Amino acid sequence: MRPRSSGYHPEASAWRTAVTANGGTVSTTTMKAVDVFCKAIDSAGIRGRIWRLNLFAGSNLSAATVPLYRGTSAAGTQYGNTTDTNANFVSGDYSETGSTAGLKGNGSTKYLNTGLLVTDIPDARHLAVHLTVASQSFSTVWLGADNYPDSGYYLNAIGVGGDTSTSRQRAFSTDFNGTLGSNSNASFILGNAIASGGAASLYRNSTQIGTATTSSRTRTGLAHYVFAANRKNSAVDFNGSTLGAYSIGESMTQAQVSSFDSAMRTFQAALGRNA
Amino acid sequence: MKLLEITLPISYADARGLALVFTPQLATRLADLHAKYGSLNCVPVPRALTNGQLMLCADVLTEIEPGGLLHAMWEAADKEVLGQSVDVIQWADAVALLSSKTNGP
Repeated sequence: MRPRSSGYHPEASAWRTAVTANGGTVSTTTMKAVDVFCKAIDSAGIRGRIWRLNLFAGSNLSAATVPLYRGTSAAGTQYGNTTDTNANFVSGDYSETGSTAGLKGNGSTKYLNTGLLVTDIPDARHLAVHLTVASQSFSTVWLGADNYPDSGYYLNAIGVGGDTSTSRQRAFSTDFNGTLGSNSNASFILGNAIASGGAASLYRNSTQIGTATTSSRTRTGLAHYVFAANRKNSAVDFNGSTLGAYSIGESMTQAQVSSFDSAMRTFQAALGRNA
Repeated sequence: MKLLEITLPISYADARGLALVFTPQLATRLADLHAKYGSLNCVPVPRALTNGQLMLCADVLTEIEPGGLLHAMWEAADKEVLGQSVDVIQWADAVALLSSKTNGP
């Protein structure tokens, strides 16, 4: 969708309308930031790569559950839940502005259900989160789903494979070793898989921090959860990070990842969040 | 300690240190109440403990006051039954009773 010659980007305006309908409001500062984000995504030519994205913004928790994107265009098919279904988050878990702002998990009970199925999108895909405050606990999941013991579609945090002392991440059932660092706040983490059983890359703030050949995966009709993995329709491996955003969509080139990263961190910075 | 012994309203900071523990039967009744009076903006989804009971973080109590996301559900509940049926324990003790983690493949 093309931006208007003046005024807010139509998808930013549509998001504000949806937020209001869900019981929230949007400040002028936030609206401008979302507008800039939408225009940057369009300008980079990556809007069609993003199937679902939530910037966790707006005046309250109800606002923060409204995704900005639910399909590859505003006019096309929309996927998943209209809002992210909130399991156990309370208003105190959310703040919009400030260095540690975003939606805060607790690593035990809280998660979101996007309703976007693994089978909805092509196998060559990305999964991404923006961490304002990272929680580094053993083998927890930022985002994803799997049909264990089949290999899954998820983006993991630290210390997989029984190793709690070494910084590791996992994406698409593949380890990326020793890359993220002990302080991974202010990180836009994006896992990018070309195809099941094919090459995969992991990026932090647009820098490629690992490549691997992924294991073959079986696509299942499970919805992506955020702050946990959806394992056969049960939430497991909860993560306690504070997230400033998540994104699910098709795979990207290095240049596209850089553009996405720039837009994302510009948005987070506009709200005063660790970026 | 029982839920009825908790002074309400409770702060977010205090509530996060506690867990609400209850039976599967009560969980079913709470789910029915939520289906009638709640919304997808805040869905209490209890986790199973190894002792067969279920638990929620007590911070859900911060949403029961007027304007809260669970206020309508709370108002429709039998508070006397809830107060006597729900145990309140330390959060760390509840987490220790969670089923063991299932690490991904």
